[in-house]
Amino acid sequence: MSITNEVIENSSINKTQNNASLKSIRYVVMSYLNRKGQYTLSNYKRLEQIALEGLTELNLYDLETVEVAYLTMNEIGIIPFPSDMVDYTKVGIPSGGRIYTLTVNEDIIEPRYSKCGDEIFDPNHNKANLDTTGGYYFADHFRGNRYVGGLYGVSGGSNVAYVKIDRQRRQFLFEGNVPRSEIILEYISTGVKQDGSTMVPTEALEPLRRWIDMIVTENTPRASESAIARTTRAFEVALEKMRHFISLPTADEYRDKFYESLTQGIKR
Amino acid sequence: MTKAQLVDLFLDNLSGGDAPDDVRGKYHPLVIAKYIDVAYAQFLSETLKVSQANLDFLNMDYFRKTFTGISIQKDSNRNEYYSEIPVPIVELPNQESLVVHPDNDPVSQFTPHGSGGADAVFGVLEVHYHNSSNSYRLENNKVYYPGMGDDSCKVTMRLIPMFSAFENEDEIYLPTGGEARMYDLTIQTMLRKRAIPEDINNNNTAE
Repeated sequence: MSITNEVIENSSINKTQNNASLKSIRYVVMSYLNRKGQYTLSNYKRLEQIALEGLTELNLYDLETVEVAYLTMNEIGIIPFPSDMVDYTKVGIPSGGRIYTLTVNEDIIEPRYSKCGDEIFDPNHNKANLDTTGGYYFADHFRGNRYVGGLYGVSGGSNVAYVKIDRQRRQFLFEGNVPRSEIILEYISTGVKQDGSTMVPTEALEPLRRWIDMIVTENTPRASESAIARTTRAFEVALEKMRHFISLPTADEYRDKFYESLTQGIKR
Repeated sequence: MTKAQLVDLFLDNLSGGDAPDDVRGKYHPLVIAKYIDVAYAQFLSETLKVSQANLDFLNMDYFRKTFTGISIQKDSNRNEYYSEIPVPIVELPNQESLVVHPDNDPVSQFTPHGSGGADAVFGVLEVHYHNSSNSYRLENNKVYYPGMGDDSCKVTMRLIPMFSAFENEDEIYLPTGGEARMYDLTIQTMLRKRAIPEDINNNNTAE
């Protein structure tokens, strides 16, 4: 990413966009430096990378970071994975305010034909325009105030579009008719955004600061075993506190669960 | 105290009185200024160590000189942007001697990028594209800005110059007690000259 005046201005905004619930990675690193009493930025990049790795760890195992992305495929039906995607939870298309997930089809051919360094589909491969076979088409219409789609008599198990997860090349392959070529992707995120807008939930601040301290201590030459054990313990305690915070239900959630278990008995 | 006054004071001390015989009245003011230059760097290094030990870096700010409105230029061969450092700086650990930030925005201070293998290491890590800060790389008397896209902004440099980079009328700020320590260091540096034997041939005879 190139740095321009605009980016400098934006980054300045990001630095001050800390609020009670979310803080920037820069805030985390500066907070750590302040605790250490180190008012020099000579190790800033190292510490920032350690913080990002810590945030990824927390997102993988403790924080519930499910991201949603609206993505548009290219002309041959490929969408690269978002850079912060660990794994997907849903791939679908929007319809009527809901997401309709697509079926995974392992038979879609993976593009492995290279042209000028870019991978494309084999030119001899005609991208299938998947029309559901076996049904009868007619105009969409309403009958008895009910919408009747333009396809009738189709056999079960067919879908308008399919997806294949090409993990080796970190991309989705699509086949079929996807309206506006737009899909909705729900995925587990590392939480690390490529545009620098990564935000850290407040409950993860203390574990993240302790994580940085632990990693820095571990990798300090001649660090004593007791110092390593102390920082590791401090991180574990902070992690437990965060887990406790996350797992606490709200009063309403608790009441809902409580009422769920109640049944009406005979009044005596 | 200005630089000229400091050199005069040292000259006065070295011309007689308590100065050791070896150095008394032997040196030209320009030569003394050179020795002070060496002693000044040593003094800064000692002060930084004390600052690091006490976590008190305010002392270092006394030595800084601020230059604003420094333009950014393009190195077309490398396709990178850079600024020239206006005066030679003392090289201190952790690039303590140089602070760079956009004009009127000290909060957005540029972070030292490191040199050597830093580009290769950071280049493949998340921190490379995360871009939560603007960085700089120090190369001799230039500061390069990795990832900078244009030269439209001006920068401020707060730096610790070498003693020789001060003008005669420039004020030299020394912490309390610093003058005496500087004098001691200067004398030590001058006396060290005699540690080098004039005849470097050693015939293993005691002479």
